[in-house]
Amino acid sequence: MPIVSPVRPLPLTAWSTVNALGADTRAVLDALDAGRSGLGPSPLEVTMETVVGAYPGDLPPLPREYAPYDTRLARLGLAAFREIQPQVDAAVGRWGADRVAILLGTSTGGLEETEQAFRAWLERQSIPEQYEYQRQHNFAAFGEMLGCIAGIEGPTYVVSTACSSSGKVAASAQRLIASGVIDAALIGGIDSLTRMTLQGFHSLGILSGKPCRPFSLEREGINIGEGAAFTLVEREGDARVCLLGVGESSDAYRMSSPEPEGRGAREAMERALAQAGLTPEDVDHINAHGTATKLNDEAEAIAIGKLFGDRVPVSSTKGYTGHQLGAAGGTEIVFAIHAILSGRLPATLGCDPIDPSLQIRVQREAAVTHPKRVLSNSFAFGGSNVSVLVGEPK
Amino acid sequence: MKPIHVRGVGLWAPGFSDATAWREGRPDPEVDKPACKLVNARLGRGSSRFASMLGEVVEQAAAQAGVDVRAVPTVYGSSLGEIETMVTLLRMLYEEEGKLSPNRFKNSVHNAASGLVSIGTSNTAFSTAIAGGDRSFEVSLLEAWAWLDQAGGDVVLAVADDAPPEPLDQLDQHGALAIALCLSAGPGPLTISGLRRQTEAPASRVPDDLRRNCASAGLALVEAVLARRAGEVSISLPGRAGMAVTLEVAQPPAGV
Repeated sequence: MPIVSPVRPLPLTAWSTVNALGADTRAVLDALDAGRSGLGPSPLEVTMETVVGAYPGDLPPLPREYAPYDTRLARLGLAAFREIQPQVDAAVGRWGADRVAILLGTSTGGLEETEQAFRAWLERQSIPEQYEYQRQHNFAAFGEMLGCIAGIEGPTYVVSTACSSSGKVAASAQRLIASGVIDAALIGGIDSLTRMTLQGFHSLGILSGKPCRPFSLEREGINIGEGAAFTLVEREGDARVCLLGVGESSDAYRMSSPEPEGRGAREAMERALAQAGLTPEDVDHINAHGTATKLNDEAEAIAIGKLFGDRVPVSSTKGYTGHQLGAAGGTEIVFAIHAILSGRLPATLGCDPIDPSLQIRVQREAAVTHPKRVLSNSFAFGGSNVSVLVGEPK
Repeated sequence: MKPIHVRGVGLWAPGFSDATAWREGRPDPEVDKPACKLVNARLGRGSSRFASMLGEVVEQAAAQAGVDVRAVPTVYGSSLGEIETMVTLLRMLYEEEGKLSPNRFKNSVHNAASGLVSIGTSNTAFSTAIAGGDRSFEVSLLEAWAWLDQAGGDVVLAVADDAPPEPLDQLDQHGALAIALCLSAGPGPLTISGLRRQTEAPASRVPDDLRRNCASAGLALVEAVLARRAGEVSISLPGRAGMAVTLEVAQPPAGV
């Protein structure tokens, strides 16, 4: 295991999210607190029975000058960004446009638009005139547009490591700040529903036809969701919650299933703790990856159990939003911040009866426990793992 | 950021099996698919030529540097990523009633090469996959550089794009190219420093069919390293705004 040096806590000064739970951050967090699921029927035509976490209602089109970038993904991203634009403007004013980065996670990019364009090409042998791969599908497109809207001129890029993408951008931001390249970063993730994603997870036999049930004895697989989430991380500033540590690891086991003993997951959590200079006893709550597949929940529970025993309450919020893939980590960082500020732990929807073979303390009901430090896990295809620790300043 | 050092390079393009062949400028028409010995046939089932290109140049750069490919951290960069796999899956989606190949699907993620190489070599070290559009080379280098600045040691940076398949080649047409650099925080004769902005990258010797391939932004640096030519080097596509670095060469000679 590499030596991990402790890092300075970095203030998290603003955040926002939109997803199946609501069209703005307040609505999302109110639904989370109320234990209300956002899962429902798929708006996309698919060949199997499933439920998804779709954004509720219509998303407004992009401003006319950004029309070439107009995709569902961009609309989701802009809806979330607008909420924290004043704080981002302030950060740009404070640090300078070239000292602020945009670091985003996505796994789909604008795939939904490419699906439509490809279908049109198959039918008519011509690509629709308004379709533009580079400004619609390309993973970098949204960040490029957001840089123009936000007046950000610092490094702008995407980490695309499937479901760990928007957790890993927290580590990228931490490194760029520590190295003196930037002073602040807008980090987060965006993914939209696509037919290919739904059919693909179905082909792997891990898509549930019913609302997902993380850590349940009766779990049958995942539901896919969509959404966007941002967090503003700065070198200095007043904040009640900080980024304390991020741990990254690789399973080196299989492309689409976790190492069964949870070795990589455990290493990611250990490294996050080591960076923060904390021990497992210092963690009050874990927002698990908790996808509700048989193998993920087993491996993650082993990893958590080995490190934390059954002391720490563990929630999965996938039963509220579905698995937002590249946006999952970013969204769950926002949920972790909310747990600290509200004092509330979310219930794990659908977990009863809890799988008795999982030796962890699954948070069955919502509770007020005033956690000070929360760990958020995201694990991905390719064995890519990340664990993000947020908490009150030391 | 502290200066970093180049310990090895890798390159693969159709016709050119490595950096030496590229430098000699004599294409071999037999070279159409990289060998990529790091990923065995069983593991690589359903994976793309793009993933093999990345695996091949990682292996070359690590071997030239003498670093252990089973332990070295890796940073992968690409603009188009697994575009060939995506188009294959789109055909299945519409022509085979949504029945997707699970092997293709799990290899469709942008970090497929990262996963395949780490599995194939049992490498549990840090790995990530970056996308930065036309600027994928410079932002991937930045990610690798920041990693070295904080963690020290070595890292292999590999950046590639394959040629866009039909019908997306109607919108963006270029050839395939993969390059890699084994970079180190430790001392070495070839030092990269002075990352800075440039308003317009100078014209370079990039072949016409590669001018839109994001990996071409690293060709000037690869060629300067191979030639041991000190000076300012652009790390952006010719004619675009972007970044430049300074390459210092402490001593002439052998073995990068």
